[in-house]
Amino acid sequence: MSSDWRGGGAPIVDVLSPDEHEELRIAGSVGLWLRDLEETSVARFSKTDPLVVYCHDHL
Amino acid sequence: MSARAAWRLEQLGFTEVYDYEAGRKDWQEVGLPTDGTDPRGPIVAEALTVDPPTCEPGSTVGSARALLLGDWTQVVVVNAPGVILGVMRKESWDAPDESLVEDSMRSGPSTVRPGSLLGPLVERMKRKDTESVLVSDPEGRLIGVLDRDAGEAVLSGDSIEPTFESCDHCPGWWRYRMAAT
Repeated sequence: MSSDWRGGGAPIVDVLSPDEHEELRIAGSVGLWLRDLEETSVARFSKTDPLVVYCHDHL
Repeated sequence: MSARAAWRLEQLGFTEVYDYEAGRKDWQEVGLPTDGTDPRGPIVAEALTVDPPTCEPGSTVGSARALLLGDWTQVVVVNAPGVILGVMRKESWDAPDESLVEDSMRSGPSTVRPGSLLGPLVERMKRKDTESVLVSDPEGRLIGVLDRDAGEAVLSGDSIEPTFESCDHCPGWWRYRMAAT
């Protein structure tokens, strides 16, 4: 897993719950709850291209 | 949570997963654009002016004064990485042209974050009769200046011209963020 993400243009995935994503999210991010990460739900993304994930903060 | 998500995605075969560890909170604090139903209200980033005139502490007052073009009445003193060291404003300009900025600047001016709520800040500025405040990132690097008039205009619903242009892939401040890190 990389800790640097200067790969501008990569899809940004919000892994917070749907309620939290609806309330406040990084503009342009895609909501995909952590517990829903599975083959079918991530099929929209290329596995060989950069992908950025985030939640609230590092805590 | 995002670390677990990154590991999960790697388990699923993704080869280049980046964990934005500082997360949404960091994004908000630096005033990057957000969407959603959050009723927080306007933030500083929506009203600030970027690219104020800057000089280094070793500059002469005369060369700093020459930067006062247009409506600018202050020059921000920064070091090479752009960290705010002081500001030349009001009585600082009484110094002779040949003197050094570091001898007459106002050191350690207060700053706010671009993600701060605009309403309470403008109210504080009114109470203290403050015309403007510097805006910095969490590392103290200069981003811009918030004029109270511009803040009041945004709060009253007046639209202002966008401060940042969008890049091809990401909205607004992303480009700034990339340059600053």
